[in-house]
Amino acid sequence: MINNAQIEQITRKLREELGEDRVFEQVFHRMAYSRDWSPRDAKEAYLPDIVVRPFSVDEASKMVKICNEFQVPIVPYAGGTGMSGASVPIYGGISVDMKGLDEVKEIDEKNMTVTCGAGITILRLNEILAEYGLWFPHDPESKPASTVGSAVACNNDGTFAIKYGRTPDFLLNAVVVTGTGQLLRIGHRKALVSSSGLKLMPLFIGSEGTLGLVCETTLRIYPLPKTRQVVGILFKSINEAINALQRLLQAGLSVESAHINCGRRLNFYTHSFRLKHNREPDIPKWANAVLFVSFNGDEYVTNSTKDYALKLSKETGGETLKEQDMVESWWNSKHTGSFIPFRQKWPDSQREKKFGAADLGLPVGRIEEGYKRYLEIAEKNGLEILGMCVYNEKASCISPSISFAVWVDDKDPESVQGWWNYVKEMSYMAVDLEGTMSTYWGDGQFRVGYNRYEHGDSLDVMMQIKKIFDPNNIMNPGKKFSVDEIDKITVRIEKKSEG
Amino acid sequence: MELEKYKDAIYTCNRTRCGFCREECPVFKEKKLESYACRGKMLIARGMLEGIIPESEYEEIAEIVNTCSVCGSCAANCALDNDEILEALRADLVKKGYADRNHLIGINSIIDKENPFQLDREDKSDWAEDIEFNEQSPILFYAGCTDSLFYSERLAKAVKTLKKLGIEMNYLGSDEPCCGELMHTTGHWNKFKTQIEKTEKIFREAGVKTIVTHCPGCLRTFRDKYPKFYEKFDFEVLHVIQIIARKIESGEIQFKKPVNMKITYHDPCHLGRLAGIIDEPRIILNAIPGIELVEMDHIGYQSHCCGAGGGLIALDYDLVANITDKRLKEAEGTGADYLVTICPTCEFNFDKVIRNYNIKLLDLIDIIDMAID
Repeated sequence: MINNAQIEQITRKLREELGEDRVFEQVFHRMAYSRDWSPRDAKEAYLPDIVVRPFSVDEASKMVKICNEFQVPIVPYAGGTGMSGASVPIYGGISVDMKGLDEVKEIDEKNMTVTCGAGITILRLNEILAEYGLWFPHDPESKPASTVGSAVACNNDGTFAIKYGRTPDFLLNAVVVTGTGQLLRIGHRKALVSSSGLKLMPLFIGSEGTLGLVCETTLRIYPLPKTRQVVGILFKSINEAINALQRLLQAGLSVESAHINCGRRLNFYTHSFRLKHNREPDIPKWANAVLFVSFNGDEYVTNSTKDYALKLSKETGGETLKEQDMVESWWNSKHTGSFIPFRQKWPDSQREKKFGAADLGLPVGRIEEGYKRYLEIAEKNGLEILGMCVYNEKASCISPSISFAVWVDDKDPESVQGWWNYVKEMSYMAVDLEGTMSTYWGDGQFRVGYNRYEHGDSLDVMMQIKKIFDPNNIMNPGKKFSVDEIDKITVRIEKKSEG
Repeated sequence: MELEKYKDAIYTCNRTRCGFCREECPVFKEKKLESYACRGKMLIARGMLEGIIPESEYEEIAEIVNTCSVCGSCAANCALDNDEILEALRADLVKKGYADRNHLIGINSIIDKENPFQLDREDKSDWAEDIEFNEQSPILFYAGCTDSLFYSERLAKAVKTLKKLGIEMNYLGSDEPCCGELMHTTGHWNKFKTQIEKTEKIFREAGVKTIVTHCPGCLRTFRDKYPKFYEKFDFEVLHVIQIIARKIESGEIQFKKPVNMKITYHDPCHLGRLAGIIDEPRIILNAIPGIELVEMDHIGYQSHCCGAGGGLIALDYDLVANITDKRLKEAEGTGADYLVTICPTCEFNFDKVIRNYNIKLLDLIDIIDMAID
């Protein structure tokens, strides 16, 4: 535990180097950084000891150098919409708000790249790009809050990934500050591919702040598509829906987004439908899966693609969802965010219980099996089942990143414990089914320890790599890797929960 | 604590942490610190409720909580009553003795002079000296303090227009009480309750059934806030442009005089997002021949704040100036010659700096006055 004298000393030094208005030690400022989106006890709050808000890469570097000198944990904080606890300062230390680094430095229309501070939200970046007719097609549902830096650090999902991929496909170059305060440019500038050197950039993608701070990024961008068509197709089973999507891709269609929802999950995406019609959407009893797909491009292309997709889907047992408001409702949820003012979906749906989802990667042929196990595991842990959604996260192929969702009662410690048991069992199940524990929220605070089940001895190598970038384990300690497992760590702070 | 009433909502926010309130918050955009955004303030509120935050920090919390233009953007992008929760937070801090000194000056002025500007109460009715009102009418024209003292020519135009439409109104002259919006917004709720009871009595004695005003702040205070504190306050409350828009839709007015202007319209937060009067100004503008309306990107429920509301202009003018600059640049970017709005607070704020931009300022009433025969 850092004592008060040390906090005072560090605060003073940070203020000297960065300025008064960059460093905050008051409890109320710290309280505002005490949680992320992860399901946890309603009363939990992990306060950092200090909040720092850098406005430049240079300031970020100075801050890390000071923290490294004092061996104080640094926890990057941006959107705060992660579900893994990655941005929660469980060991106290410094919560560093990255949102001050939000400058768009260059929009290179000739080379189709944008260079920007990593603290800019994805929504804001796209508002700016839209003025040039351009688009950064990484599109998580959290985009009004989550930042480009979070997309790198957490390697999260995007609605349009089946056409454009996600962070590994967009990120060309980055400026990072390592755990010693060293500034590194990593990646291949504006080139799309490179065979030179060893690839450091992929190490930072999904690193959850454990190697350093991602401060600046150069991203691949695209022209804004002129038109878009969105449709929903009902199927008798999840496998039928998967086969239909396989068929669309096999036929050579360019699919912009493709999400397969089980019947239960669809209800979660129909918030605006319920507001409009004051009832649950009417899904035929035989329908156990819905494939939502969108197509973009010039009008002729999107229209003909849609028509052909519907024809192929019909041949594979699908029936077009006629209630267009349901499709709209799903699309509002996934992309536009156009909800009725004062009735935004997220808080409205969370008044009683908390949404929680295990984010598993399964091979396509084992999804049905995984779905059955999900129902059993959720029931065993006493959790209400919300449903499954299969996102597709690699360009032009079925590439399941699956959200297995449940409701968690965060006022009931047993329910919260049931949730964490559920995540653990689901994670083991994913590995047993030849998949991976996490596809969009990472290991964070909660998979530490049992992620060895997936990685085995490779986890030790990963820890050695971390030590190269962060020899004192100050970068987000206790995330991804257990502090006890990283040897010669001088930072030893008790986990502290206030509240 | 007033906050206790909102405990469930505060925990709902804590549990959700979507942050969708944050990106469009005009203050957060400047400060870039969670504690200035609604989501951060919800955690601060929880910290106060649970006693995690010591009272020694309440004075600083009051500064943070008062650094808000009460534009309602956080509420519009949420399903929780964020604006009410933040006002309750202010009320709790005031009760504990952490009232802002600048706010108190305005509030004491309301008590002494029935306006927050420390100006003479009698001056409020100067604009109406040559205008005939009908004391018997159950329709009250409520002028409001800011318009009466700074933009009185617009009041005269509004009354003239309504008279042309055959609407006879009463006016209370220097007996008109202040609506007390500043008391509510800044958390001085006991004083606000007293103001409501006094106002209700004055209106009742004057035989009022309907209140018509040009000021969005007064409109919302009477329409939305008074009944929450005092059920007996059951008067119909209308904005001038609601009446005019209805007359256009019913075919009772047809503008024939062209007004050849390229304009853009700024939705005042209290009229648009918070009172839901978004279509009416556009109905009017589209009915006037010669008007070319070019919309900004952020309009209606997603309109951007001018920065002046919630008493913020009295506390941190530099911050307000930065917020105002963003909005005026957006207006300028439309290529319009005129920025049209219909809120004396927005105009008061824009007026200070608009000479630095390539756009001029008008009130919607000015345009109606030009167009009406």
